[in-house]
Amino acid sequence: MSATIETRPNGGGVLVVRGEIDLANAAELDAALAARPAAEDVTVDLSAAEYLDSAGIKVLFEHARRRRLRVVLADDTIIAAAIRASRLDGVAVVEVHARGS
Amino acid sequence: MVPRGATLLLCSDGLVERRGESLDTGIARAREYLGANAAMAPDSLTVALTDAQAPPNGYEDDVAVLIYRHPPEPLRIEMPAVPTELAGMRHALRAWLDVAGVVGAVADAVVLATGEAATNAVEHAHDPTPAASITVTAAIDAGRVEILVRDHGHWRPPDADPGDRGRGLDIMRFVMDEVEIVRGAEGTTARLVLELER
Repeated sequence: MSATIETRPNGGGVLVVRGEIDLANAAELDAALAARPAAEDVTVDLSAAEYLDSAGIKVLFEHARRRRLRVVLADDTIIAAAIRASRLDGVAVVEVHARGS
Repeated sequence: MVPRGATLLLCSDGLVERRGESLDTGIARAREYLGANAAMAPDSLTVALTDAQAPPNGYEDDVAVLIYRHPPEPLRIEMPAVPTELAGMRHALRAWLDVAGVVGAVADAVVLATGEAATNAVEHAHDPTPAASITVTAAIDAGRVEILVRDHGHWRPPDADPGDRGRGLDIMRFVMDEVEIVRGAEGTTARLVLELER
C-alpha cells in the first residue's frame, strides 16, 4: 500500500495526496502537515486519493485546530463518503468537485 | 444447480454467430472470455464481452447480452491485528465485491465501514502482538451484504475514547444500514449490513 504526499511547486500550502491513507500511514499525512509553516493556510487535495478513513480524518481534525485548512475532494467517491460522515466541514473548508474534473 | 460465483450468459445469436464458422465456435469463444474474466463485475463484463467478441467489421446482427453472476462463496479473511495488514484486507474485499457485482458507491460503503471496523479491532486488540488475528467475513444473502469483523480484544466504548474511535463508529453508522457491536468475553464482533436493493 502506498500513498504519496506532494507539495505543489510554487504552491506553498497545497498537499496533493495520492494512494491510500489508513492507520498504517496516517502519520505521514500528519508529518506533511506539521512541516508546513505555522501560520500558513493549507489545502489538502484528496481528489486523487483512493482511500481515507477516520485515521486520516483524525489528522485533518487535529490540524484544523491549529491553522486554516481547506480540503478538496471528488464527489461520489469513498473519500467523499468518509469526509461527509465525519462532519469535517464543521472545522475546515471542504470543497467538492465533480468526479473527473 | 448454478455453482457459486458462476457466470451465466444469455445472448442473442448475433453475439456468437459469424459467417463461415460454426455456432459452437462462437459460443466457445464467448465461454473462454467469460472464464478468463470470472472476477470482473457483471456490468463491466457485458460491455467488455461485447467489445471483445466483435468481428473485425462489426456485428452483422443485433446483439443483446444478459449476464447473471451467481453470488460467490462467502469471503473469509484472517489477518494479523496490525495496521499494515488493513490495506490487503480492503483490496481482497473489493475484489470479492467485484465478483459479486457490487460496485460503485455501494461497494465503497462496504469497504469503508469494514476498514473502520478492522481498524478498531487493530487498535484495541487486547493482545497487541502480531500473533493476534482478526477475522473478516463477507456474505451476500437475500439482497443484502453482511460483514462480520471479529477480534479477540475488547473495544473501548466510544465515551471512553472520545473523538477517535467514536469517529470510526460514526462513519460506519453513516454508510451502512445496520451496525451492531457485540462485546463478549472472548472478543468483539462488529456486524455490518447493507441492503443492495435501494
